[in-house]
Amino acid sequence: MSLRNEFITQTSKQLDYYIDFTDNILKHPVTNQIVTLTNEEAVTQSIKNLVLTNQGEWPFRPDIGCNIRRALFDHFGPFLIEDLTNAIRDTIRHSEPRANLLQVNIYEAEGQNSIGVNIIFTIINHTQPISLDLILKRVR
Amino acid sequence: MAANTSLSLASLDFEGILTAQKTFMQSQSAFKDYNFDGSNMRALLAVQAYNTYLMSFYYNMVAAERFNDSAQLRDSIVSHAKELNYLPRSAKSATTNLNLTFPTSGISTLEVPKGTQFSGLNTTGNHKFVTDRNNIYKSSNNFFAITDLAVYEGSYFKESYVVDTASETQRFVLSNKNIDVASITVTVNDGISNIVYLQATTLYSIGADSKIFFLEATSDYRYELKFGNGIFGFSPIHGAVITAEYRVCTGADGNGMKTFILDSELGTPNGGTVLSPLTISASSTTEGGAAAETLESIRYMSPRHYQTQSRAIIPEDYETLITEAFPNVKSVHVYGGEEIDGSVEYGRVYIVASSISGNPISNVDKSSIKAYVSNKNSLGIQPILIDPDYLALKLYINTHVNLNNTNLTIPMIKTLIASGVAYFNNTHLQRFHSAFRFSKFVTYLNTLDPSIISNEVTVRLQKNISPPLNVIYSNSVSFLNKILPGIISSYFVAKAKEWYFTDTVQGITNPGSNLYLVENNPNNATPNYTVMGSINYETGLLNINALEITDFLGHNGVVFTVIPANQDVYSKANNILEIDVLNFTVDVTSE
Repeated sequence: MSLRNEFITQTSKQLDYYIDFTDNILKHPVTNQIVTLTNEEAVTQSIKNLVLTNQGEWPFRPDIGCNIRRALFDHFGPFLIEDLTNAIRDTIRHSEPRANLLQVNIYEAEGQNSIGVNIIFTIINHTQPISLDLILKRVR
Repeated sequence: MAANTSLSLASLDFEGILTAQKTFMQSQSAFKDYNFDGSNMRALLAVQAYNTYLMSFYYNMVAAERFNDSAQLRDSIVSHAKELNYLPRSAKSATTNLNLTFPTSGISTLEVPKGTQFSGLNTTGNHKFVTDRNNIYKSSNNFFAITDLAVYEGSYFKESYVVDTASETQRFVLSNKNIDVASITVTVNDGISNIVYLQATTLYSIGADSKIFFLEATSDYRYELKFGNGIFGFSPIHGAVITAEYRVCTGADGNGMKTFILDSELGTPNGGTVLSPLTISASSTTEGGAAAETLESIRYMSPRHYQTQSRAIIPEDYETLITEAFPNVKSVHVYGGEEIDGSVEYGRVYIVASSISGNPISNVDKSSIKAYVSNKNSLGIQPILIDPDYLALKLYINTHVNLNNTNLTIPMIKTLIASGVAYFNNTHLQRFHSAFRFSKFVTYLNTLDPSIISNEVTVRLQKNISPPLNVIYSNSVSFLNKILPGIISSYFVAKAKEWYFTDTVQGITNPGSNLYLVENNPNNATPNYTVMGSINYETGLLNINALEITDFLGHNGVVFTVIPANQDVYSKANNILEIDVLNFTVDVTSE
């Protein structure tokens, strides 16, 4: 008599805790289904959305957003770094309960008239840190 | 995708819609991030909720504007009124009649053309008054004596339109606001002659050749001319020039003036002789000016106008028609001659109207009202206009205040109470069939300022009778409310002595319901008195026997003051109840 594990192959399947779609609502070329982002990707995109949203952009939710684009018109220095760090930290704590923020690094991208933002966080109940890099640049 | 196809839309505010969508999303597993503010799914749901909210708000407004009861925009209410064939009342010019004299200065005839301008000053500023027609006067005794020259506040404007029958959308909208529509004249030049078109308000007796126009209210306080369609009323031909002339006024701001100067040049100007007036006087202060009908008034009047069908049959018809057509009329009471106690007069309808200013309706307006209702009432019914009877409330107010609760001083509190009483009078009284509710009045006074602790109010009723002087005349005074003993009148002269009426002689109140005539002479050891009428305390009626009065001693008549049995006082029939706001007493006591 054969054992059950002799004819069942064990595979590892990660559960999709979080599922969202992409910013540009892409269609999968083969399945014709909408492309989804899951778990780390979904949370990363959510943080990116929150950080790049200005307060007041959402209808009826003026509390959502980070207002960091205004920094592009300020002098870069330790005060601005502190200000931006606090703004990003507050935003993630207020609007993204899935992320555990570890570190925010602000740096000046010299010669490019832009500010670099590096956010390091973990997803709750996960230990693997995730790094998100954003470049804030003036449109004109 | 979603197993649950039921999306609840019970709540139409943004959060309610968003919550319903999130609940709906819980039934599927393809997307899970709808609960997190930063996710794209949440952004999509928010956009949908916002759109749904916006549309529900929009449809709510559209639905509200569709009904006369709930519409908020004036244009919507005017449109609903149009469906009921109701023309909202326009602004109306104040008017008066002027009397002028000019020297002839060698001119035999003096023309005062339409639009001749006068100006006067009142508290709202300088206002122009113009004549509404051409008048020609002949001289007499080296003077031109002009009497009763009607002048109207405002200025005349002309607008012209060229008829384009090829255009199906051509409209003839008068571009000015505050037009007195009674002044509109319309002339149509068809290339051959000028034809005056008359305003029509009904299709009766209108044929295909009738030279008429209809007036309709349109958006933004404006009015529009509508011409016939070739079946009901003549349709102006292509290329005809329509000229509308009208007067634009300032409404009630033009009221209350009596001194004028002539602005226009009369005589033979342009190099000839210009006449300067020797005298200009107004027969009365300007009155009758009123603003355009308010939104709430249009909402109230339009269905009632439809109900009357422009016919005056029952009393409410008269009241609606008169209030609608005469903006300076505040309140109307109408009763048939068969309702008069003691002297039934069949075939007559009595109209009692009060004006917004509080003064009696002018004779000019009475004639206008009579002519207006005569065209709308039943055959054989004669309208009679009479002045209202005023029943005055004489108030004694003692106000207790705590000055720690206010920054106001005692004189300022007195002024505040005086203005409050005037407001209460204007808002709750000064109408037919109104009632003075004592408790409401006291409650109102208590709320005027936080410092006011309480108010003690004593109410007396007053009525003034003005029998003709030097004529033996009997009279009666009706207070229409139950009264108590304690009647007293003002002094007057009769039989070469000073007298007054009362029901109390030698300090003894008369229980027999006699009205006494008592001589006002402190030198008399015993008062000289005689029975001069009877009193019905239950109905408040005083009958006065025939008496010849020769002087009212500074009053406009004989003023009776009585004590009402009840603190609530009612006005009935043709009586208007009002507080005597110029003669009431306020005492303020600080505690």
